[in-house]
Amino acid sequence: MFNRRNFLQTAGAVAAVSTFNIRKASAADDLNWSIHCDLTGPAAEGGKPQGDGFTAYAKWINASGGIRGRKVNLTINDSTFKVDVAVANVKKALAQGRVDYLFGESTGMIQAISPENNSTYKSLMTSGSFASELADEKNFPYHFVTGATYGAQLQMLVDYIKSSSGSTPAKVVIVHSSTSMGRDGIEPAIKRAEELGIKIVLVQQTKFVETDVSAYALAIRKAQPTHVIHHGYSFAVWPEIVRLVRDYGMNDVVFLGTVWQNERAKMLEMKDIAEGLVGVKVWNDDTIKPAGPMMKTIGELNKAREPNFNGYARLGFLNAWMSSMMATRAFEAVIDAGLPVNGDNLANAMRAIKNWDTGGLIDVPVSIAGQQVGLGRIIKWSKSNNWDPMQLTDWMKVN
Amino acid sequence: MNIFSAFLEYSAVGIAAGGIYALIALGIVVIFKSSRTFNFAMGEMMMLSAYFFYTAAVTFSFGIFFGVVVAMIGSIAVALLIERLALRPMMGRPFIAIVMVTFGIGSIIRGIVGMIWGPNDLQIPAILARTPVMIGDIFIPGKTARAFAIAVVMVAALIAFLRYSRAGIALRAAAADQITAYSMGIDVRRVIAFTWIIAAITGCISGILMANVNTLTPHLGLVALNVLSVVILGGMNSIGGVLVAGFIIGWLESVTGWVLGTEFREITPYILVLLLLLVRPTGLFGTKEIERI
Amino acid sequence: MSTAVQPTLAKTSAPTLGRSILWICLLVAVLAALPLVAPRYWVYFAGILGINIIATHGLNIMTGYTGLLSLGHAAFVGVGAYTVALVQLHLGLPFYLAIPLAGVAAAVIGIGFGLPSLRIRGLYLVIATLAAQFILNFVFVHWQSVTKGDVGLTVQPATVFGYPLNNETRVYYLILFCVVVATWFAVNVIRSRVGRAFIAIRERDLTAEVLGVQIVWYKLVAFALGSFYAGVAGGLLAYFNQFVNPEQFGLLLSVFFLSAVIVGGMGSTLGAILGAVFMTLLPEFLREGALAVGNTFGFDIASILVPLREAVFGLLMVAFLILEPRGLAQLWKRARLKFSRSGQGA
Repeated sequence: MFNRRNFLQTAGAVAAVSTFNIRKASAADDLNWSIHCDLTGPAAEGGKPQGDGFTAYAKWINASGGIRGRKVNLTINDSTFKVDVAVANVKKALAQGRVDYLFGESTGMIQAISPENNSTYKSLMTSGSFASELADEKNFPYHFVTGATYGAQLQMLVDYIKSSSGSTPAKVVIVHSSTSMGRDGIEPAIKRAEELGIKIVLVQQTKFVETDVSAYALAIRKAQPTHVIHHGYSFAVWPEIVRLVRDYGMNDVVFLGTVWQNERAKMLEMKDIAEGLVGVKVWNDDTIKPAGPMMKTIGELNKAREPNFNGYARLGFLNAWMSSMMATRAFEAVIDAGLPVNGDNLANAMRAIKNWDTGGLIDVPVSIAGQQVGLGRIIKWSKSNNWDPMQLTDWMKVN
Repeated sequence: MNIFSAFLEYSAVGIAAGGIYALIALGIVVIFKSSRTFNFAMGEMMMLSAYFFYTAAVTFSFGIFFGVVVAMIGSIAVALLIERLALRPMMGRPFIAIVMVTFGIGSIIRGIVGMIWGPNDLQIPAILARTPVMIGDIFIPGKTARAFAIAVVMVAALIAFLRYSRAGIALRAAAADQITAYSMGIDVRRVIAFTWIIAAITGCISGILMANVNTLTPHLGLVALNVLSVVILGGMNSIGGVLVAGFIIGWLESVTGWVLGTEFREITPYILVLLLLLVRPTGLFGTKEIERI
Repeated sequence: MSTAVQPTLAKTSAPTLGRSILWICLLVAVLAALPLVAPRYWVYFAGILGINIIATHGLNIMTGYTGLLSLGHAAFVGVGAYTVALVQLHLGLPFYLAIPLAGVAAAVIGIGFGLPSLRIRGLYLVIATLAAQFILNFVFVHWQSVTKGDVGLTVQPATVFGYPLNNETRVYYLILFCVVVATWFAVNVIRSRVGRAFIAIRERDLTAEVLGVQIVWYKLVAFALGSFYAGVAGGLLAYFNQFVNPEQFGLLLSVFFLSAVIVGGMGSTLGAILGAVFMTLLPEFLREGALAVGNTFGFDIASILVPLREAVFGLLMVAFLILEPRGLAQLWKRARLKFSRSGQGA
C-alpha cells in the first residue's frame, strides 16, 4: 500500500546508495585524458557523439602503441548539461592524480575551471565550444578551440557574401538567438561587413524557442535583403523563418547559417527548405569519399560501431577526433623534444603547430594561431548533389 | 504613409500571433478559474501532446488527422490522471505548495518523455495549411492566421458554454464560491476535472503548433513561460480577458520589436505588467477575488 | 496552519538549551573538519550547499515566515554577485566590505521591485518578482559597459590578510562562517518581536493590523532581509566561482530556492537547511544510486540517466508535498520524537 511510511523508507534507501567514479588503474607514464561531455541531458545530441569519438580514438591510438609508446588512459564523465556537475567531475578527476589533457563540453565549464587551472593544475584543454572569448591566450592560455570560433565563422560568411554577390550590392539581415552562443560573434561580423562595404540592414534577436515568428519574418520582408544569416540555433525557429520568408514570395533570398545548423542528417529532414542553404563547415565529414587517410579511418571505425552509419561523421565525433589529434600532436612534440609533459610545454607546443596535415579532416595544412584552428569553408546544400555539401569556397582563415 | 502602413502590418501580425499566446494561456486560466491552481506544468502537457501526435502520425504512420485524435485522447487521459492523483489530494493546501506540485509534475513529464523518446530533435508534420491570409495589402502568414481563428473560436465557444450550459454554470458557480456551490449540490470535483479536460484540449492544439514552429524536444515546455505576462494581464481567471490580453501582448511585442529592436520584445510585457500592478492589480478583466489569496 | 502541539517530553528549558548548543558546536566542528577527510569534490559541493543554504534562509524569511511569495530570488542573488565583482573591479574593496555591500544592494533593488505590491495582498508580489527576474536578467545581459554581457566578469579570489582564498577548500571556510552567522541571525530574528510580526502577517494579517502590527513596514523588513541574504549568497558565489555571468541567475534557480523552502518546510529555519540539502545533494545521490542499481542489474542506465533523474526528482517532490505538507523539518521532528520515545521506553 502506498502510504507515508513505505514511501519514506524507500526514499531513505535510495538516498543512501552511493558510488564514486573511480579512474581505471593505469601505468605511471600513461597519459591521462579526462573527458567531460553531455552524454545525457538536453545537449546529448551533440554530446554523445563526442564521447563516442574519444572512445574510438583512444582505442585506435592505443592499438598502435599509444603516443610515442605511452598509452592513453581515457575517462569519460557525463556532465549532464550542468556546469556545476561538470566542475565537480573535473575536481574529482584532478583529485585522482595527474590530468594531462582535459576536454570540456561547454563555454561555462571552461570558464569555471580556468581560474584554478591557470594557477595550479595547468592541464591542456580543448572543448566543444566555439565561443570567441575562449580563444584568448591571456585568459585561457591552456585552452584551444578545435575549429573556427563563432566570430570567425560569421566573418567567413560575410566574406563569402561579398565575394559571391558580384555587382549587385548585398543587403544582409542577421537573425540570432538570445543565448550567449547566439550573441557571440555578431559584433565582429557587423564590423567586417562595414569594412567590406556590405549593408547590414537589420539585426534581430529571437528567443531560443518562440511561439510565433511572423513578426520577425515581416521585418525581413520589409528589409528586402539579398542574404539572411542565422546564428545561435540548433533546429528551432530558423527553419520556420525560412518557410515564412518563402511564403512571402521572396525566393531569391539566400539563407546562411553557422556550424551547428549544418548537419546533413538534419537537412534530409527539412527537405522543403534545405535547397540552397549555405553554411560553414569547420571539418570535413564525408567518409564515403574521404579526403585523406584519417577520414577513411573514421569512416571504418564508425561503420564497425554502427552498421547503419550513413557515411557522414557527426559533428561531435569530429570535434572529439580533432581534439584528440591536436592533443596527440602536442604530446608528440613535447616528448620528442625531451621536455617534461606539463601544461606549459604542451600549450607552447600546440601554439607552435604549423602546416600540419590532418589526414583529411581539413583539406589544407593547419597552423594554430590565436588559440584556435580557425579554418572553415563555405558549403551549399542542394538536392541536385544528393544533399552532399557542395564546396563554394576554399578553406579560409580570418584574422 | 509608409510608416503608417508598416504600423498597421506589424499590428496585424502581432495581434494574430497573440491569438496563439491566448490559446496557450487559456489552458492555464481555465484551471485557475475553477481551482485557484496555477498549472506550471502546462508547457510540459503541451509538449507531451506533441509527442503523442508525433508517435501516432509519424512513427505509426496514422496520418495527421488520426494523429491529432490520438494526441487529444492521450492528453485528456494524462490531464485527468494528474488532476486525480496529484492535485485532488492537495485541495485546501496553501497556494505555493500546489504550485510546487505542478512544477514537480512538469519535471516528471519531462523526465518520462526524455526516457521514452530520447533527447534528439524531432520534426513533426504541419497540421495547418500555409496559404497566407491577406487583409488588403497586409499579409498574415497562414499558420498564424489559422491559429488565431482557432483561438477565437475556442474562447467564444468556451464563453458561450460557461454562460448557457448547465456544466458551464456549475463551473462558474464553483469558481465564484466553492462552499456554496457544494451546498447547492454541485460536484465541484467533477467541475475541476472538467476544466483540466478543457486545458488538455487547448494544450494539445498549442503543443502541436509549437512543435511546428520549433522542433520537438523534451524541453519544448519552456515555450509556456512566454505567456506568463498574458495570463497576468488578462486577470488570471477571465476567459475573455485572456484572449484580449493575448492580443495586447502580441501586438506590444510586435510593435516594440519594430520600434525599439527585437531584444526588447521579451521584457516590455513585464514592464507593462509592473505598471499595471500600480494602477490595476487585478489585471484588465480579473475579478477582485484574487486579492484574497 | 497553527503551531503543532508538542508532546511534553522535554522537561525544563535550561538543560535542553545547553544540550542543543553542544550538538550545534559539535556539528560545526565536524563541518570544519570536512576538508581534511573528504575528497575535494565533496568540499566543492559543500561550498555550493552553503551558498544555497544562505539564499534559502532568505527566501524562507520572506516566503516561509511572512508569506511573501517571490519568484525572483535568483535575480537578487545575481545582484549580489555582480556587486561583489564590480566593487572589487572598480573600488578594490576587500571581501568583508564587498559581501555586506552585496547584501545591501540586493535589498535595495529588491525593495524597489517589491514596494508597490507590498501594499496589496497576495499574488502580486509573485508577479512583481517574476518581472524583476526577467528585467534584471535583461540588464545583466545588455548593460554591456558595466556587466560585460554574456562574457561576464572575472573575480579575483578574496584575500584574508594577504592569504588568497583561491581554492574551494579555503572559500569553504568563509562560506561555513557565513552560514553559521546567517543561521544564527535567522533563528534570532524569528524569535524576536520582528519574527512574531512576520508570522502574524502570514497567518492573519488583518487581525495583526487591528492589534497594532504595522503590516506594510514589517513586510518591507521581511522582504529587505530576505533579499539581503540573497545578495550575500550571491557575493559568496562570486568569490567561489571566480566569475560571474548572466546564465547563473535564471528563473530555474528561483524555482530551485522556492522548492527548497517548501520541501524543507515553510516557516522553519531547520527546514530551510534541510530543503537546501535536499535540492542540492539529492540529484547527485540519485545519479550515483541509479548508476549503482543499473550496474548491478546490467542496464545501460547512463543514456537515460538525466531524464530518469528528472522524473524521480519530480516524483519525490510531489510525493513529499502531498504526503508531508510540513516538509522535511516535520519529518525530522518526528524522527527525533520517535528516537526519544523509544529511548525513553527502553
